Amino acid sequence: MEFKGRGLVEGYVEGIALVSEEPISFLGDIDPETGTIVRKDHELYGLTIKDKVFAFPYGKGSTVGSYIIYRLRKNNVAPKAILNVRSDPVVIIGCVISDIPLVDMLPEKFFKKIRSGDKVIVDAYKGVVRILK
Amino acid sequence: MYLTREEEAILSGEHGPEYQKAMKALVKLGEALGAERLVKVVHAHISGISYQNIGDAGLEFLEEYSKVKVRTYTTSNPIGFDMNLWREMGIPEEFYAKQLRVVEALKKMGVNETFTCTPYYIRKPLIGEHLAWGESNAVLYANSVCGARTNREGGPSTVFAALIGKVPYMGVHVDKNRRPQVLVKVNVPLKNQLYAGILGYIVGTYVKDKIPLIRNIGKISDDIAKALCAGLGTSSSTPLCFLENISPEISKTKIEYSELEKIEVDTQDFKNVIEAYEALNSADTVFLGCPHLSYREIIKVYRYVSKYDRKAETPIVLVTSRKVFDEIPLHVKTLFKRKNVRLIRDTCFVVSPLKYLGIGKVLTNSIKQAYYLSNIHGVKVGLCETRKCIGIAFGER
Repeated sequence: MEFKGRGLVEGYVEGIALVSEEPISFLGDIDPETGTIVRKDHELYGLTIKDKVFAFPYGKGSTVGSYIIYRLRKNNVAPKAILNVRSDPVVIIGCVISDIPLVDMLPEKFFKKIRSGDKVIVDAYKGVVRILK
Repeated sequence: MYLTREEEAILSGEHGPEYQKAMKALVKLGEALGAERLVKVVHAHISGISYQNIGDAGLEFLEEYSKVKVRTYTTSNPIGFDMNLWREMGIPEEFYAKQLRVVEALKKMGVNETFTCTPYYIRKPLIGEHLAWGESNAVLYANSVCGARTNREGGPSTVFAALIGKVPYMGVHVDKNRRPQVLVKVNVPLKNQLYAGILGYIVGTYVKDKIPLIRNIGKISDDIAKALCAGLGTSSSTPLCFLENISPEISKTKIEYSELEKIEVDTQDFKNVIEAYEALNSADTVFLGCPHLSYREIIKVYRYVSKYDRKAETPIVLVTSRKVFDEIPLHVKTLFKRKNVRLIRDTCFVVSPLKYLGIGKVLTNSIKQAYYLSNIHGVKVGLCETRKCIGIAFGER
């Protein structure tokens, strides 16, 4: 299945999806040293975003979040790509400075279809995401 | 997005990888949010520089970009301690060293070491000027009191805007987005900073990202307007509010009153906010200076404390910028020392490592300070107006 969104930060990657239904605040939700989701009441608590194609509706919270994304990259625990319904400035800047492919404006049915563990191909040059099932 | 030839050159890397990244970040932001071009800014204000907030992530980032220089006049927000008093404040060596690296990185970039949340006291913006400011109270003050133009930039975007000297032309940089959407009628006299801050806070809770027009507030001073902006920035994401008798653009803005949402704010709303905090008649510290105190505000405190013939039982901490600090006459500073009033600069409790300072119970006149101290630091906070804060410090119950 192929879905068309908007490529905001270029790149082409294949990887395993990790899907959060909730918005993400990189400051507070993610440990920048390990990439683990550390907010206790988060649905994905204890899992890591390292090397995953990380899908969540949108970012929220402190703009320090951009620095957290940058630190994830420096520590080699960043996600391979980020997929959003709508990217906010925190995630856009974080991905630009960390060279993490970013696609947003994916259709609603994409988020209904995609599940954690799915293999996906992200072509952020074209803004296209394919779910391989 | 339309880019000039020079902007294209920066984007393609001709000025080096740092400027390229900075330009790319601004262009992507602009494209995502619908800007057609960039606009020059005369003043960038970098927020998010306290090591307490940005940690090693922010430190590494700033150090990497410190290889290059800012291309517009740039000031900086408060850091985690007073540079001259860090030992007295009980700041650990390691924190000091990391914060110093942040400061060095900014210096190398050519950022002015102002360390204040009140950049409008450093350089007061003019009507219509484009700025790239972080720090919500400053953004609201610049737009609403000065009539200048800045969106609510985040820490990293202020760095990029400073490096390029431009921002995407969108949001409240654009005329058509500077119109009120909610009409607020205030049925309570705004007699002091405490009330002004709370009014801002109440309005912000209601408007969220919409632009309010606040009426019926009489002729308020710039200091009172500042407190209002700080409260509004605490509970909302709006960059602009129109203040009757203050905002220079009101007379030029065509306002369709019948189309505005309307709300009223009454005495009970104020009471509810104050009562959500502690009813303290003692504290570890009285904190005044959120946002950083103006010269006038410090002199006012001087007059209040001069009336007492003894020293305060509870230390009164006054926080300001190093610029205003330097303007305060020596006799005022001497009296402060005698009365247990500590005038500090460069910092603020919200961005300092409070766990080392051993402060658990604070009295303040600022809703913004109260909100962040209780939510981020778990400190018990009581809200009172300035004179009452000082009275309690001197043992009046």
